[in-house]
Amino acid sequence: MASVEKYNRVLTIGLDTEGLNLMTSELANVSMYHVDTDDKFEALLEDESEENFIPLIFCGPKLNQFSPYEVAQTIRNTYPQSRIIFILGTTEDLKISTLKKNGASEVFILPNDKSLLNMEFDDVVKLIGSAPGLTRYRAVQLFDIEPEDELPFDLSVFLPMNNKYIKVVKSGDKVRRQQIDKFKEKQVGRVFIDSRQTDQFYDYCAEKLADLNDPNSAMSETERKQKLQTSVRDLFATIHDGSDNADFEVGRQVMKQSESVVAKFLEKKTGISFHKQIEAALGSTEDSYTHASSVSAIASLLSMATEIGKPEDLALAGLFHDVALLGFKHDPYPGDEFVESLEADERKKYLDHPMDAQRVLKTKKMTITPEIVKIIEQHHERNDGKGFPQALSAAKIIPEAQLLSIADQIEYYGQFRPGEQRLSPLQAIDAIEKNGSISLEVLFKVRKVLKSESNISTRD
Amino acid sequence: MFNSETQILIVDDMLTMRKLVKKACKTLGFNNFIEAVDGQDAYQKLQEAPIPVQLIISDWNMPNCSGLDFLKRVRADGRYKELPFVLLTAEAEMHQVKAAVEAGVSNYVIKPFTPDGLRQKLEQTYVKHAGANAA
Repeated sequence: MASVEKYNRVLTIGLDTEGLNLMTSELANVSMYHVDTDDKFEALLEDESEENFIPLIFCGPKLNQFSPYEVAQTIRNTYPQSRIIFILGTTEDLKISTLKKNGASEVFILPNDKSLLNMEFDDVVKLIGSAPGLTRYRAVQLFDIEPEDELPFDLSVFLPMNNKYIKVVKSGDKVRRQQIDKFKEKQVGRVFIDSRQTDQFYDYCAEKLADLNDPNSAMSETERKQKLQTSVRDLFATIHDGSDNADFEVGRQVMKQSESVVAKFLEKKTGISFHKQIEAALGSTEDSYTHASSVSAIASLLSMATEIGKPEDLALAGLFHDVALLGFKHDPYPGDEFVESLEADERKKYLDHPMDAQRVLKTKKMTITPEIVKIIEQHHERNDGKGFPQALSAAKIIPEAQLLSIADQIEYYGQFRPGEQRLSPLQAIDAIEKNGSISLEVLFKVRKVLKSESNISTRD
Repeated sequence: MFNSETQILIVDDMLTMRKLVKKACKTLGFNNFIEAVDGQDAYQKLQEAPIPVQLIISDWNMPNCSGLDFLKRVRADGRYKELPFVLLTAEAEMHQVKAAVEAGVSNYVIKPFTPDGLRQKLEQTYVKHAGANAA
């Protein structure tokens, strides 16, 4: 990527009023160029200037002559290295997956995705640099801080009465016992980091996770397991079955954080680069990446907390579970109706995909362990014996495969789909229990992980 | 070799993509273009072209008649059996390249493409067809 000091512009194309207002208010000090007419858009494509790299392009639906698909495809071809974000108010006439296949890096639907879009703006600020007035804060779930921990990032709290952020721990300083006691006493549920320090935050969480997963840790086995369960529970804890979108959006933010933490954890534990594995197996298709990344993170974290399987195995199984479905046109959903809706060749591809994963990975010169192969092969088997591809009886389905199935379904139920209700992870567990696909024993363990309320995990 | 006089038929339902392909081809020195919005329109223009078309560059995903269906139609027509035909395909569609090869595609270009990438593919295409003609 070119030096951001040289190319510190953001380009907007066809944003509607809401999108434009949001951009200008959230990124007030960022230099932007607005393309708001068809003529300007065509002129952009004619631009012959050599220095035409723009790192960030925000697009909307408001050009008259050009559909979002056309905008995505042509802008992707004109600026192949840019991050292309779509901000839309509705997806009535659009398929998000098709928009991504045409070149969109990410698609946000307002107002539901406002919190996630804010995270995107955080990254804009991080990319563009430390211009004055551009500090953005991100709410995070802290991971088992202890006295004398040296945090590699600044930690702030928000004072609503003063409407300002106060730094309570400076990067590199050790956390004092009194500070932790105060957080506990005041039940401070959310703390904040400077959005430019998210990489340090994810590294810190991943180190903690790795330590808690290390059986050779200095802690007693009981203490280590208890801390691990509680820490992972805290990471999930904000994703509760809140009834309003604001809570749900915060939960989605935490999920995104979890993905980054698990990616770093996997790298530390196995030396495997999460992102490189995805790219090698799935190419740069953003849509597949997002689903695989989310399922991988959920499965891995659940594995840690429930002690079902090895977290690194579940992480890799999550990454590759749908590798044989690359290019599949449909958006699979749980249940027989989906399979019945497919044409014969598509149905075969879908029903065969668990068994085809290993073969597909071999064509990409990638190998996975027999344990991971088995998890992927069984991830669509069902407790009632009506799964596929082998219609295994309940006793033959390994719990790791059930965990992957749970993660897959939690990810599915948590997505925004027009006309459908999105479910929190706990609500998804209820739905999974109703659909009978998973054993009650495994569901019980997972429900235990997800059920607690959020607070900062602190230990004396 | 294809030269500046080569008549190219560009097929894509998106106006802007046709412009981009044309722009890339102009960078490579080509000057003669016919444009079509889908496979059906393209087949008609192929037959009616005052100067014979010598190269087709077609998108894959189009309404009405896809790039693959257009390719099959072209190859079924004895007049165009050896006409160089390049398909533009998104990375997500790579699994369909096999179908295109079986249907007789000369080459494919993965989007997003650069003029240099397109040039390499056109060179390969020319060599392939020149070799076939010599045989």
